[in-house]
Amino acid sequence: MHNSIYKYKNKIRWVKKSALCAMLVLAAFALNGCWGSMELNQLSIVMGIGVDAAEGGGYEVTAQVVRPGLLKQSSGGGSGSDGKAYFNAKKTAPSVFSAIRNIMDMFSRRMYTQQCKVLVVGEAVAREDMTPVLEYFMRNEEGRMTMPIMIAKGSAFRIFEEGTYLETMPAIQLSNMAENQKYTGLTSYMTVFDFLQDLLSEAVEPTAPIVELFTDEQGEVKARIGETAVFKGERMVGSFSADEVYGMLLINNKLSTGVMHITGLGGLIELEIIRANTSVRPIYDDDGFRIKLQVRMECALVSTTSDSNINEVKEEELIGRLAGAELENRIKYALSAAKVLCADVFSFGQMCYQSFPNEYRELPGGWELEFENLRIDMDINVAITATGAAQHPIKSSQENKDERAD
Amino acid sequence: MKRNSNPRVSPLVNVRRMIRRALADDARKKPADANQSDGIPAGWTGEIPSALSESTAQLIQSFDKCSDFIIRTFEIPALNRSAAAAFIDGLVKHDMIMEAAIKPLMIYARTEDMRNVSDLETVRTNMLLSSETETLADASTAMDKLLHGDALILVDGMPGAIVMNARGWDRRSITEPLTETVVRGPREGFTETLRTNTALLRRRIASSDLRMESMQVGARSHTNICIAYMESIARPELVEEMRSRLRGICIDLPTGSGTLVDFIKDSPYSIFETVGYTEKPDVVAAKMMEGRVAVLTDGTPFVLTAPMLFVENFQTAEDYLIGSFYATFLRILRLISFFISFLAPAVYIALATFHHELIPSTLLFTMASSAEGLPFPAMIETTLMLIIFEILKEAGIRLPKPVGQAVSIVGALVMGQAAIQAGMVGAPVVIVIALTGVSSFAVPTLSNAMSLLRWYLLLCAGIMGGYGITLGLMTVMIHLASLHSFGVHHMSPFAPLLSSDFKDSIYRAPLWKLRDRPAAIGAMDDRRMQSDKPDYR
Amino acid sequence: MSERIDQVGGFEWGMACCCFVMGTILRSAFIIYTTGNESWMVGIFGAIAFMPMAAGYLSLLRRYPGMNLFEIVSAVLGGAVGTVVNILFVLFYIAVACLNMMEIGSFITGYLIRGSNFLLVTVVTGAAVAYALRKGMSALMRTIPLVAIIGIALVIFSSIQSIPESNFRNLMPWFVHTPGEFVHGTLIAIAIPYGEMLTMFALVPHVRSGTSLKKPMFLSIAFTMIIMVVVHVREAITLGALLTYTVLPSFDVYRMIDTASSFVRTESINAMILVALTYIKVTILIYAAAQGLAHIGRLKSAKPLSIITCMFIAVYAEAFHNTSYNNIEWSVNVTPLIWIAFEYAIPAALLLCAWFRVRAVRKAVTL
Repeated sequence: MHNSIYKYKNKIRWVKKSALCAMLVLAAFALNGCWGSMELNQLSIVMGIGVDAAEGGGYEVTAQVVRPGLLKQSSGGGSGSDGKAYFNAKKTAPSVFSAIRNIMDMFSRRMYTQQCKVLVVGEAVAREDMTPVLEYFMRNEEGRMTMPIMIAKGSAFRIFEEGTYLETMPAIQLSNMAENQKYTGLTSYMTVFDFLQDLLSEAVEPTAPIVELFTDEQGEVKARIGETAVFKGERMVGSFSADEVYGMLLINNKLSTGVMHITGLGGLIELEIIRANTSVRPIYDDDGFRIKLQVRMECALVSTTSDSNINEVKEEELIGRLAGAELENRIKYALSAAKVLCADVFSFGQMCYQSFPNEYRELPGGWELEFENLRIDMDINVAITATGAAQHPIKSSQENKDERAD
Repeated sequence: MKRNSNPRVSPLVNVRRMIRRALADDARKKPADANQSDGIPAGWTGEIPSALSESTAQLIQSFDKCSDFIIRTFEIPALNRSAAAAFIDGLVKHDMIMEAAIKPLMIYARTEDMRNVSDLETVRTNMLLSSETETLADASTAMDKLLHGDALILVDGMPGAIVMNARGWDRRSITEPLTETVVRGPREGFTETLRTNTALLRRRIASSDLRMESMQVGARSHTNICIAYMESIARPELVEEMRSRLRGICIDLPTGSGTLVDFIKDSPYSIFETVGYTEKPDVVAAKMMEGRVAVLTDGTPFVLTAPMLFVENFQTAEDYLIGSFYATFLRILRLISFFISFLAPAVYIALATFHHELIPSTLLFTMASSAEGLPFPAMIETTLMLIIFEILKEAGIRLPKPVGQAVSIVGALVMGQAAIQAGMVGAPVVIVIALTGVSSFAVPTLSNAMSLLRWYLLLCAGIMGGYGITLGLMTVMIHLASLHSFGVHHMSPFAPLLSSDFKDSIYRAPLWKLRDRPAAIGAMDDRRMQSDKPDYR
Repeated sequence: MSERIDQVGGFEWGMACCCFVMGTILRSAFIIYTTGNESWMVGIFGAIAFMPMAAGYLSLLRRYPGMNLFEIVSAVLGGAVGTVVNILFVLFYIAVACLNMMEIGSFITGYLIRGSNFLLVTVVTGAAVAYALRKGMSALMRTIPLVAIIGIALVIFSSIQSIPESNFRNLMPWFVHTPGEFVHGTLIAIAIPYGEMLTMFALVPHVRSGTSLKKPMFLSIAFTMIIMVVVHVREAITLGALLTYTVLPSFDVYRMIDTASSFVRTESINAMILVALTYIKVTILIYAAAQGLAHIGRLKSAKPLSIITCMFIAVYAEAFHNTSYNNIEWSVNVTPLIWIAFEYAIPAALLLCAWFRVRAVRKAVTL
């Protein structure tokens, strides 16, 4: 009897405990708001951010936001806002952070920047000071530092707004364009992270691709990536053209493919780069710092208008030497362009510091002075490893035909 | 019973104490007495009287109002006595009683040495033709045998009764088990008759080492069960543990082996099975060879095996009959579908509500565009669809066959498709739930536990996204690691990491590498193969 | 302990030691604050410097086999002094548990699930820890090898994935840091990741009696040294100049992994594993604290205290919640001294006392 009463009391206690737990759990469901959970239809997904300088100080931030409902319908950009799967929201504010925050007064949904694909900075901001923009992205845990950064010739808003694009959204196309530059060798591919790294390193100057709008023959406004902006510290001081950038990419070991034209052997020879490897070694001797540059490249012969028989080994070596000389010219061209702007975009200074920290610190006048007079020893070797599917060039057989005809 | 005075100790302690005391009591009593506790009518007890009129009167009184109880009285001219045969109609084969008992007793001619026969033993050995006979003096044992299908022969003037085996009732023939189908392998399955099941086992293991201990479970039903094990392989402590747990069961009627499981399993509140069950004799034979103990129950084709490891859920009989590479692939596939079946809804919720950065952009656009205009948040959608799926599953099992197919078509196609088109749920949710459902059938023994675990993880994901899933998984893992099955860690060889047992867990090494029995279960004789060479090849 | 303990082997104990150190990899900013890109050297020095301390721990354990730290203190010092030292140890464990709980909370509310409530995260974690404690430490120790193996695999996998983003020259300016900074870094290393292995004393009764703990401990020290070196090297070569700017270097490495080349964005998955390891750490710490309280209060079992201790630590962790920079600052400058006092000074004193006592007894016997 006593046992059954006690069992009954114990059971009541257990039931009360589990009821309390169940209530807590159910209440937990109700408190959905305070948990940082966001439904998909409460998000406005930002795909691209553009920062321009506003008149009278401050920043004008453009955010390109997806319209998910219209994604299925539009794949080519139409003019007018119906049919486009995105829209650009613009806001002016004294700082970048407050501008991004204040954009939300136009949205019915929470802003979600974690899928952001590209950061475009207007030239005015770049020429003045890049740090406020980058500081926001570094400190904010939501910003993705792996997105490419581009400098807009003119204003970033125009790049986002005008221009016809093939992809569903301009931001996606710009991001893919930037990434493609890894394979073309026309300009460098910089993410926010790379830019920050270069900025914060002692003796490296960052670069970034420049995107501009142009009108083609049909009258359409399109965007293209042209030159490369060169920074000194946090401000842009100039730009490299495609030729100047070629040497820079080569030195930085970022040239993976590309085409080279050589004039020689009675015609124009085109080579395609299969593999390129550059190694840079800093040396410190009595006269100061020196850089030893070693380039090893493998090329394939793509086309030739000369008539010599290229399959002979001697001819291949000759072409290799010609190519080597061409590369040396390009490197010197890039070096001189960098020296004009006084910007060490090749991270020579960083390497010298890493290998010889004490000597680096004892440099009178700093690295800038040293960079002006830096000696570079080049050791370039180009090998032709593939000649394609033809045995002789067409020109040579033409000549033979003429000879036979005579 | 000692009072549980410390309020902080769990109330389960009382239940455990009760069971322990009951076991201790039963160990002292005889098995027959344990079933005759308070309130249950005893039936025919005492000694069987020698006067036929008395014994038949007692029998008729015990079986009052039982229309299937038959007494056939006859005369034995050879002994000049009357006799009676008592049996239950429907349980016996009338021909056998006639041929083996009544006919010889009635027709035998009188011979000289028969005159002095005065005890049943002589009658049994000299005059009955049946192959299985026994003389009994105790009435309750005799009644028990009568109720299980034997026939009683009572002779006037001789105390006691002869029990002869005349069992023959309608039984299901041996067919392929419905729950465990194989492509390549034996298709025999157990039936509801205990003797057929023991015969099926005996055919696979033709060794006297295979012991079959008989017991009765069920205070009123007196159901026969049989504990089967290999004497030289299974540990004696294990067998004794099984015996004592079964003896402690004080239930009226075990409807199936699942009832027994509830009483003998180690963790009564866990959703995971710690006692295995199967319908195929080859599986039981293989498990006994690894040192396990099997329990066969009369009236159900499912045989229990203990101890059970968690990896057994992923092992099927067919794994050992197809090549080892394909078997390994199938096991890994089952493991993957196991994870999908309980993690998929939770991961979907975590991705769609908390961790949007984990989804690739194009997929995020698709999900966002399909989430446009939906009335419910993702959590409610998923819960709704999961409930509907469980309803469909249950309805599909319960409905009669012809209607069952219509239900699944209606449910799956119409409801799912129409709901998406009406804009009530999104397509991703339906896909996720369908995937969950399908993959839960790849591991059938765990599907019940998975159905429950899914809800728990869904709740965790809804509260805290990916971190909630992490904590949920950790708690589930800790729960699994704390499960024991008859003294063996349930998660061997993973939880206590036993590398020697890995050969047959997630991957299946070729059979000639499986030289030793699993160390987790512990066997008396470790070596499966008696060769001296380290590998057979 | 009079409760029935289901015992595990030395392998699980060694893996639990590994988990302990790996849980601190999440916060490698402490060491990077002092030595920057040479932190991998500090990882090696720290492990080497810890080995004699580990030997000291083991000799203490050998004299008092099968007893946890509190019982050893009572046995060696006895009486009131022992109780005072036990109380100090309990406070130490509570402080470390609160700090680790705070790390979980700030990591999740700051990085993984922005906008969630710190208190909610810690309370939910506390509930999960309470469940683990009620199931018994043996069950947890059996799951630890699995979690540790997954964690190690993820660390290796993500290190391999981050190689394309890395530049090996970033390790380069060698020995620019002063020896003082190296010593500081080594002190932090032996105080925070390695030194908290003192807590593993609490789990010794769960190990099968008779197993030697020497091999598990030294193997786990060696192994965690390798992991720590790998992690620090990976951070240095991937982050480059940003190394000293970020608060969570290892997490930022995960974010740098180029998602085009990997199947899925792995940062959250890696983060989950690291948080799971920290969760294990918190469980063991709370278990140690509850054991200490049970021993001081002469209770038969620590189970009733488990829920209370968990909730207390879950709520009190908010008091330690600071900005991330303050946290690093404090952990680098203040924590090593306090921790070293507890983790090395007191056990060394215990060892000496134990040694003297044995000598005294022997003297008494021979006289």
